[in-house]
Amino acid sequence: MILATICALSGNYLGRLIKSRIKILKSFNTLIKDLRSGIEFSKEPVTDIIKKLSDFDEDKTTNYLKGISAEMNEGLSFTQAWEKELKDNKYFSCLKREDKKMIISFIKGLGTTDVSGQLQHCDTYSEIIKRKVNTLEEDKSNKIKLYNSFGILGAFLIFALLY
Amino acid sequence: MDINGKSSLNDIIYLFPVKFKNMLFNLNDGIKSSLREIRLRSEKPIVLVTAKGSAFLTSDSRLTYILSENLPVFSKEDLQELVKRACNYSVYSYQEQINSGFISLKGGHRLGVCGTAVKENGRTVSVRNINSINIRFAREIYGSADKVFNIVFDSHPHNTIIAGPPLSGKTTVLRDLIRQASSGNAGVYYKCAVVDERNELAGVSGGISGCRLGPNTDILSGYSKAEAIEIAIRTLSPDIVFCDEIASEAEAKQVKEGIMCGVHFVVTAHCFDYIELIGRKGVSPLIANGLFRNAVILGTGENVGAIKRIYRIGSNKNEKSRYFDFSDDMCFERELLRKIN
Repeated sequence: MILATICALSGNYLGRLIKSRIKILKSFNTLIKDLRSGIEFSKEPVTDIIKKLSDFDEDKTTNYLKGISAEMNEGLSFTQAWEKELKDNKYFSCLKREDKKMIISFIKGLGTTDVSGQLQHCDTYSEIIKRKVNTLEEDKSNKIKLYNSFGILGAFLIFALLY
Repeated sequence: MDINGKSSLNDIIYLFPVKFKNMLFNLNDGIKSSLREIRLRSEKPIVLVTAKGSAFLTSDSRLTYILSENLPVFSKEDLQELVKRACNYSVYSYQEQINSGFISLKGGHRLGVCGTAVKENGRTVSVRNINSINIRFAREIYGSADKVFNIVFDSHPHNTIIAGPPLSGKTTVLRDLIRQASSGNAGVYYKCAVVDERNELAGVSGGISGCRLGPNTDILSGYSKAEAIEIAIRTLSPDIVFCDEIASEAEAKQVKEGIMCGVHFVVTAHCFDYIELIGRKGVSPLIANGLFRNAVILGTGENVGAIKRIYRIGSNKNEKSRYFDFSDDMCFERELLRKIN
């Protein structure tokens, strides 16, 4: 009984991880849109936009931006600072390797071209994330059910193996 | 930016990769304070330019005048990363500047960029393969314009050209002149408008000037000179417009328009001596029309910022313009120098 509960809870936990993953990806997409507006309308440097966003963020969903600014002040490059934050910050722990790879790929291309190139870059990645989030949301409820079932089934299997 | 001649290595040290950062940081204070330029070339040793000339940086933070294979080399990757940092990882934000061959840094320092121009319809739209960088330190020396100040201001401001070869201290003198004029040193708080196309005079960053240009100064940075002069005259009602490096005929035309509107101008120009000055396209129309009263030529090398010669080129209607009369100029120069001293 205890085993079944533990397995069901872990199934639920995995479901929650998907929810968190969606939340972070959505938040990152918002960041891309903010960067896009900053680039298009004020042509401000990316680092300045990020600093402003981290200063004015009220719901703290982009708290990691402060960490990125601090790491850059310590001498890390923009990409290195993002890599470090994605690796060390618990906020990103529910992201899959492919998500992190995609974020780094976006960061590497950020600020390297002229305005139209940057707008194109932001739009491309925004679209990729949007599709990814849509797919994840469609799968979310199914997967939560699936993980819960796996949890219970796993518990039965373990029970059967043990006894 | 530090005051009183100390170059501001600390302002730009963040640009360098860690190993070079340490080498530069450990330089002795004497070298740091006399530093004027840092020249970085792809796969070449680092050249530091001081008052004594060019020397190479060694790995133990000394300067050597002997070129050897043991000198630390600045790699192509280091150079690319440095440019990215200078642009705050946002090339688009600095594209126009890069196309014009420079990037303005915080504190008024300037990073000259050399690479291959990408042209489109005859216009440079981008620069690729950046292979060389020159970091020029802006200097803020209080009192460096004291002598020029006496020439520009007596009962009222006089239109003046401050001229000299590169690294003669034109911008430093002009910066101090602005500060003094705006701070009421002439007995009046003159309304000063600063035309700072390359963001070198004021070093504006985040809307705040990195240099002390006085309490009554308006700064137009990033505009083309002609455009900024027009805006200044139309909207800022300045007493004096300060403008660095007048070079083109369009700029000269706009300066002329400004003078005709009753605004005074103090400008700088590149040249070695007066003969070269009157040969400059951007300056000669202003001199020929008698619109400027003084031309101050600055010295170089050990005499950076010091007045080499002063030419009275006329502007007072009662005076005969002495455009080509060099002997008279010399006489006046001596007379004026006596007055100053």
